[in-house]
Formats: sequence, C-alpha cells, structure tokens
Amino acid sequence: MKQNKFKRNVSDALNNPKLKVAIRRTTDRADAKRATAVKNFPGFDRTREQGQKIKDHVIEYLDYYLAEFERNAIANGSIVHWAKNAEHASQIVVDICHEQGAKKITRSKSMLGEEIGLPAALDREDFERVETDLAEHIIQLAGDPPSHIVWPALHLTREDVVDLFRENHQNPIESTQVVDLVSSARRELRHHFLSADVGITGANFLVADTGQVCTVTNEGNAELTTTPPKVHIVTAGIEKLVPSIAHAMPLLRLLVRSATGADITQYTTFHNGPKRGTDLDGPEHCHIVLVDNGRTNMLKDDMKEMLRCIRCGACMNHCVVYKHIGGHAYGSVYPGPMGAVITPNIDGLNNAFEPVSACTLNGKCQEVCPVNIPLPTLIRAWRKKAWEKKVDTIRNRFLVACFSQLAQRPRLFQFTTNMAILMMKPFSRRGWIRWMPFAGSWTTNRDLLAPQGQSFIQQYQKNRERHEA
Amino acid sequence: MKHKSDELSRSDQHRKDIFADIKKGKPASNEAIKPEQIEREAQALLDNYVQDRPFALSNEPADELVRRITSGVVIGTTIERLDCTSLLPKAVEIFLDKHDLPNSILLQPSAPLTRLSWGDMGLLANLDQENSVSVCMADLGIAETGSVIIHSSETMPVLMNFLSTYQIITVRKSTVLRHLEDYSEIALRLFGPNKSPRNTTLITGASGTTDIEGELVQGAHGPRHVHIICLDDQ
Repeated sequence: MKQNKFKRNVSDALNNPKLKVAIRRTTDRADAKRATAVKNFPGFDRTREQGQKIKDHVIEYLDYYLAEFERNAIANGSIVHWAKNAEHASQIVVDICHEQGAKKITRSKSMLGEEIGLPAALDREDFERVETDLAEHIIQLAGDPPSHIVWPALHLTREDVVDLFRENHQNPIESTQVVDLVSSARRELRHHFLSADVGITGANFLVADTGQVCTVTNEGNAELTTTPPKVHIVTAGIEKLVPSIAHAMPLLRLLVRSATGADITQYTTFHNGPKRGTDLDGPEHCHIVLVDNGRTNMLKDDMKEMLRCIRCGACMNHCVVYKHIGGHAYGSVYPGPMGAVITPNIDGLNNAFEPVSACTLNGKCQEVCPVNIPLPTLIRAWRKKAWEKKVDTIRNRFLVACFSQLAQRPRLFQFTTNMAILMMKPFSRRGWIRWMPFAGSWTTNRDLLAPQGQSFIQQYQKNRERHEA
Repeated sequence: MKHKSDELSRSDQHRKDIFADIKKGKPASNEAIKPEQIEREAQALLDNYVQDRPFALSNEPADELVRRITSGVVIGTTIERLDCTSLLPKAVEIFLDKHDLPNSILLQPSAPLTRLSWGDMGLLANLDQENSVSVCMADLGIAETGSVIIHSSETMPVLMNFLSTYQIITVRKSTVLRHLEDYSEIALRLFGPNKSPRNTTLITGASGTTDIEGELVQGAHGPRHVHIICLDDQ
C-alpha cells in the first residue's frame, strides 16, 4: 500500500511546476555555496578523512562513550533518560511537560524530534507548541511536515510565506520582501520565547568528557529556547557523541561548509545542565533523552557507516531524484539518499523500500558526503536485502528474472537488444522518443533518448575487426 | 511520585536493552579494551590532524580576527581596535551616534565594564525594544572563524546576547586564540577536567536565516548587527 503511495507522491510532485521552482531556488544556491566553501579550504579532504575517523571511533566504542556522557551530564545536574523506541522517547518528554505543569512549549529544530513524532505527541496532549526555527514556524503554520533536514520549508515559495503570515500573524504586514517577512516572524515569536514553560532542543553533538550538548544555529533560536523557560529538554540520537570538544571542531568545519557553505554558523552553543548557583539566568531543570530507535540495529546489520551521518543535507541537495520530487514524496522524516538508507532501519524495509528503488546510483551523494558515507553501496545493500526477502514488486522480480535469463545467453541477449533497437526506430524523432508502448512510466514526464545506431556489441565487434584488419 | 519512579525504572530497562544491543554488534575481543587505550586512540586522532586546519594569513591571532571580520566574511559584523579599555565608553558613544541610536545600552554587570565611567549614558536599556544595544565582554576570541566565546557566569547572563538589535562585544587581544581546537586547552585550564560552564556560546556574526528561498536576512531572532571591539591589553 505504501509503495503505491510513493508512486502517487512522485507523480504529484512531478506534476507540480511550482514545487520544482521552490526546490531549485534553495538547493542550487546551497550547491554553489558548498562548492565555494570546499574550494576555499585546502584541508577539506583531509578534514573529511578526520571526521570519518572520529565518527568511526565513537561508533566502535559507543557504549564506552554513552556511559561517559551519562556520567558527566548527571554530574552537571542533568537527568538522563533512555528510550529504545520512538513512542517511549515521546512519552518521556510528554511526562516531563505534565510534571512541570507546562502550558507553552518552545522547540528549536530537531530532526530527531520529528523522527520520534514529538510534535504530534505534544499536540495530542494540548500543549501550546511553538516551533521557533523560522522554517519550522512556517511549516507549522502551513500544517506541513518538513521537506528537507536543513531547510524544512524549502518546498514553499516566498509567495506562500506571505499568505501564511498574513493569515496567522498578530500584526500582519503588507510587504512581500523576505526581510520584512523575517521581521514579522521575529515580532511574532519573541514573546513566545520569553513566556514558555519548557524549551526543547535536539543536539548536533553530545560531548562525552564534559556532558555538554552542542546545538548549531544561525538564528539564535536554540539559545532563546533553552534560556528563559524553567525546563530544558534535549532529545538526541545515541550516535551524536564525540569524545571531547576538540573532536567536535573538525566535524563542525565539515558540517557547516557542507550544509550552508559558511565556515561556521553564527551560534555554536554548548549547553550543560541546569542553571548553576550563581548564574544570572538559565533553566532550573535539564533532562536529556537518549534515543536508539533503530540505531543499534544499524550496528548489527552492517549499516554502521550510516551512523557517521551528521545531518548536513548535502546528499539531498546534490541528488537528481530529490531535486525533482522534493522531500515530501519520500513519505518519511529523512528524505534523499541519507533518508533512503536510514528510513528502512526505522520503519522496516517493507514500508520504506520504494525510495531505495528510486535511486539512480550516480554516486554524487557519496562524493559530497562530509564523512564519506558509501551511500550508493548501502542503498544497493538494501536492494539486495529486498530481493532476498521478496519485498520488491512482482513486476520488478519478473523483469529481473527475464534479464537474468537473457544475460546468461549471449546470443539471445544480442538478438533481443538488436530487435529492441529496430522496434524503437519508428518512434524516434530527431534522436528522442516521446511515446512508445510499454515505456509510459519513462515518457510521461520526459523524453527517452533514442538508440544511436547499433548496439554496443555490434559496434565493439566492428571496431575490433577494423583494428585487426 | 509513583509515576516518576515507574518512569525511571522503565528508562533503566531501556538503558539495559540499548547497551545489550550495542554489545551484540561487537566482536568479543572488544571487551578487553581498556579505557586508557580508547583515550589514547582518541588523542591520536587529534594529534594527526593539526596541519590540515584552515591556515591563517597572519601570525598574530588578533590581527587575523580583525582581518577576517574586515574582509566581510562574518555576517553583519564590524570590528575596531582600541588601545586602552578606558576609551570604551567613548567608542560606544560614537557607535550609538553613528547608527542614530538613543543614548542607552544594557551593560553586562561585570566589573571590568561597570567600573568604567559611562557619563550620562543609560546602562539598563530594555532589550525587548527595537534598536536596543547590548555591551558585553567576551571571554575569548577565535581567529580562524572570526568568533568570540562567551561563558555563562555570575556576571554573564546568556539572554542579553540574544535579544538586542545591536550587539557590541569587546574582546581582549591577548585572549584571541588561533584555531577552534585551541579552545579545548583553555577550557581545561579554566574549568578543570570534565567541567564546563552551563552555557558556552561561540558567536560568529549577527543572527541570520536563509529559510525563505535561501535568501540571507540578518536579525532573525537576535542581533541584526554585531560590532566587535578588540582591546589591546598588552
């Protein structure tokens, strides 16, 4: 059922010309900025190796570092909670909010929060949930899920935001300039920051030897979320650890250059527990919820490399599939190449195979990955698993079986390809095929390149004869 | 209270399950590895990387900080140098005049700042107003990124750095570090092993966002403009 849904999502996305404009406005800008940032940092490749080694080291000794982080976080006054799955993680947060008698809750963007379904869990309990990241604020007003892990509102154009703010902001503005829209959100959100009872953040890094929780933002909304309320709750995946603050630094260099093309974000903050005796501000309580939700399976299932992911979004900005269909079509919190690999770990392969099968394996994602995750290899591993577990469609299995029969019989294979070339000829116009029987799923949204003369084998043999002659 | 203890024991069970699942994924030989070896491996990762960090054009970290900010790569930020801390109130006054701002700031309640003579300037401005100005002293600077570092303390409220429209931050020349990693040595010296302030923020420019069509706008939630004053304290 979910498989049909993906197909429908893709076709809806491809038939929405506005969506493509919206996607390209942000991703093309991000690609260019990343390329410049990498060019301006000669040590990028070596830093990439370094980042990979640091993450691999942590994954190798994950239990050691988790225990160390827990010890130091507790020593600094935090309460550490553990959650094996999404439901339990959300429940812990909801329980804390109830215990504190919370009414208003501010939240700064956290993909893990989305992964565990926290926004919905808070809404079910009738808390007033205020998303404070500008993009999250926009999609909260639109009632949309995020469509990108760095720019969650990337699917919306400025015109959409104008309408949303006019409808929802207390003092709506006339202007359609981006700068004025940002000011309107600033006014709208300021009083929420100062009157919230609980502030919830994610974590970009958890520093094992101090118990610090690192957040990275350009807006400063994380600090405004964690400082005024009396409770700070952190929700974080167990793979977010680094041994020390010094180990976080090369990863920060990689993360920010790969995500936005800057050298560092405007605010890189290390939070550590509740307010100390003499501090002038800060929360009275701090809770840290450490979430597994499929991550330990990735250790076992040889998906280890995926745990390196630092959530920069470069793989989706550079993905030909993502650029056409956008984030929502994937039907999960994590879209693009990294999403195709992670989601089956969380939702099960049965429910998340179609995005895996949509990949073109062009390898661009691994090329730009700041921690060198072999995304195409991991995607192929899921395809292999899907074949073994018979998860893919019957049509697909039938076609692969046909191909395997052909591929084992060279003469039959050549005969079939030659026939196909002949059959395709009548449909070609100036090198392209606009329509052809049985090729509808290709030609509905784009033309098919017509065969350029003979098959590879025919050309190869002809060339060899010429060389030998 | 009963509810609370139930939750904690449930969390305990989840903790056990997570650690058990991590163990399952590991070769048995890993059990014998001692913490000292893990720490050695972690340290080696840092030692092998030193020469690949972004390099500086200037040997003097404070010069590099000034050069970076002047070159415009740090969003919404300007910088000036002052020879002497006592000149700070005058420099702030000039800044306020230049930007056509009221003669009122929120001054960080820290002795090196409060003991200066501020004349008739208001020092307890309400930051929740448009065009408000805050003035504070950073604990450290970082040349590599053009950042300043601020630690929460009994004289440093965190919130004051996120509410004003204009943010003036002073940083002593002698406290500017070369690279991001250099901070970890200083932090160890300042706070001791396994310790840190409740809040450590690296500020690198004005609050900004690219969330609408990727277009950069300054002053998303916090300051629209940051002015760094580098004090020559040597």
